[in-house]
Amino acid sequence: MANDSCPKQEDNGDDRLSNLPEHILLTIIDRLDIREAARTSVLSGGWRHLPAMLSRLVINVWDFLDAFNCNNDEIVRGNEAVVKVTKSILARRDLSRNAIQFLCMTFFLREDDPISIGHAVAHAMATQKVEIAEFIIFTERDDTHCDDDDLVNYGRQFMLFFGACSNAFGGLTRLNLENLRFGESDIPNILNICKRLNHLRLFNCDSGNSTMLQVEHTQLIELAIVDCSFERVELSSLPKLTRIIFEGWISFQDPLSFGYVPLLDVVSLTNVGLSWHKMVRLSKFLRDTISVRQLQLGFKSEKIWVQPECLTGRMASVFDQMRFVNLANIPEGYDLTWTLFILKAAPILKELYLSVWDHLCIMETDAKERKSLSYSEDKGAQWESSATDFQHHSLATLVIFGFQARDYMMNYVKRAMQISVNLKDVFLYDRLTCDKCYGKLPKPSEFPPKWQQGCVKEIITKRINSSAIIHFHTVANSRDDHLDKMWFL
Amino acid sequence: MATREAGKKMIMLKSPDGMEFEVEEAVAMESQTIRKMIEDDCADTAILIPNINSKILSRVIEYCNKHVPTTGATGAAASDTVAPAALAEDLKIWDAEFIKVNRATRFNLIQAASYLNIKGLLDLTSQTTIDTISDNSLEEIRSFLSTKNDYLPEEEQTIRRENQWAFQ
Repeated sequence: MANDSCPKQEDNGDDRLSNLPEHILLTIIDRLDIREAARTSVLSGGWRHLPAMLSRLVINVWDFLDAFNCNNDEIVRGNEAVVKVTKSILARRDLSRNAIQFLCMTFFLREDDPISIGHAVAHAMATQKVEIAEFIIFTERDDTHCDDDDLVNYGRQFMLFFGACSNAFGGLTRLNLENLRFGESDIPNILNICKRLNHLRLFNCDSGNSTMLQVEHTQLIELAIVDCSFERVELSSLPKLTRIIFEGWISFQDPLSFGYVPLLDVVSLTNVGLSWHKMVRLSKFLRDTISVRQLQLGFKSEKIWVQPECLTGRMASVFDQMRFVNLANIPEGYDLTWTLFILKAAPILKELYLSVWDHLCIMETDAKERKSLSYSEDKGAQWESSATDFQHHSLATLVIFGFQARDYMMNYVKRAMQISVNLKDVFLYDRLTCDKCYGKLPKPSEFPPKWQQGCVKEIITKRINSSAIIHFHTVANSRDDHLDKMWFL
Repeated sequence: MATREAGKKMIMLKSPDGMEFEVEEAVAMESQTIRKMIEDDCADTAILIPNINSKILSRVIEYCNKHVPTTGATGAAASDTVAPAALAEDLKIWDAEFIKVNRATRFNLIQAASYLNIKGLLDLTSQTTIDTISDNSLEEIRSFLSTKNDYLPEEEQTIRRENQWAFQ
């Protein structure tokens, strides 16, 4: 169809792209990676100055090293390249032109490299508007190889960098840090200097033993705290926060508390539930939030750490606004009836996602280790309430990843379909897979093959009255929006 | 002329070569430029779209027609059964067909998308161009873009030196 409508005579060929106005050439090369973009300057005179006007600058150390053989030498080489490129690109900016819309720097915390990068960025910020500015900072050893001394060292190094480049930090809007042990007042200081920050991610960071982190910031919109050993995190005052991701906690008590977070919309909580962890009661845990509409609870194939409750009236108010719930990485083989407590508590829930998966490459499988680290052998949860004969009027979509044609799962789907009187679609996917896990499948999947699906459908819908349609899909052919929601992107 | 047809508000778009296209307002508003004109009430009579000939304009309208979000109300039957992601998949296939045009047409479409501020079309047309720039040698790119190398050899050397890291 397309070819018919563009007759040949229009293609007069002669240097057409270079004849395009400069701002259009720019929108094109803004989509190239930084290396390709810089190379276009030798195409012809018309392209010469374009790299100095790019509005999108992504300089990532992983593009300059061999990620498959990432040894120390590679890191040194890659980081040096980042320094060189950053200086070269930022020093030659055409200041009369475009602001920088997006500047993202990914580098290792190593010697003076960060400071050189920080100075170049600060200079750019001082001379030109930088809308979004992000630092993603890696440490040379990753979290699995870091001991306490490393954390302390990296923490010190980072604070030196921070002290030397406070101007750059003052202009950052996004910051991602890992493997740092801070002094007690460091994080409040950082938040104080990084006034423009709206996204902060801390991974494997802490302030020593049993410390509390209080977070106050006027601009922060997204906060992720992952595997950080704070005893407690208090979101004291975050008037713009809409999204919190909180993963991995060590506390016996509720590890997170909500202060002034009036706009909080998305809450994601993930933990490996060990036998000494206190069960989390969501009615209490989330009681100070008023506006949460999307909730993810992640279990990492281990014990269900959330206490199924029987909620009515005021107790259920934390679920009042809930539209979407994703229960991720539920261990395989355990009754799922408990999840219905969420349906009962959340009257306007539209979508319920479950993924059931023994994800072997993140699980501790050695029996001895499991015992000494207090892993639970009974991972299931029971809902005390016998009142499962309620009706839910809002749920439209139920999605289950890791469906198997086993009685407990088929019964669960049947039950959910019975309760959810306006349910439209049920999507049943086979087990999730991961590249690293390849070859170590837990148990054979009992996902029904095509010829069995009709029969499974019949078993599920027998003697119930539901107009919902059951769809079977393999993960390989899954819908992008389902996967995105399942991974909670 | 803003007229009404079967309950839908229509807008007249005019190309410099004198062709007129009557399109639904919602379709025309896929263009942020036109949206702004309509919202500022500058759209009583036909909107003249400068620099975009009728052939290109008709392609742009074809694109907008396809990409205008379907409203649930009247098309309920369709939108109930067709999942959004399935639609997205169809659109991708449609886009891939749509952009199979010669280079000059594509560059005209880029310009039109830029002027009319239609993000999806600009993404599609630019990305298609990018795909040819990535992973090709400079000579290939030059020849593809029919760009002439107008540097003196020593000039080119200087630029290569300045951006040495990019050529390693």
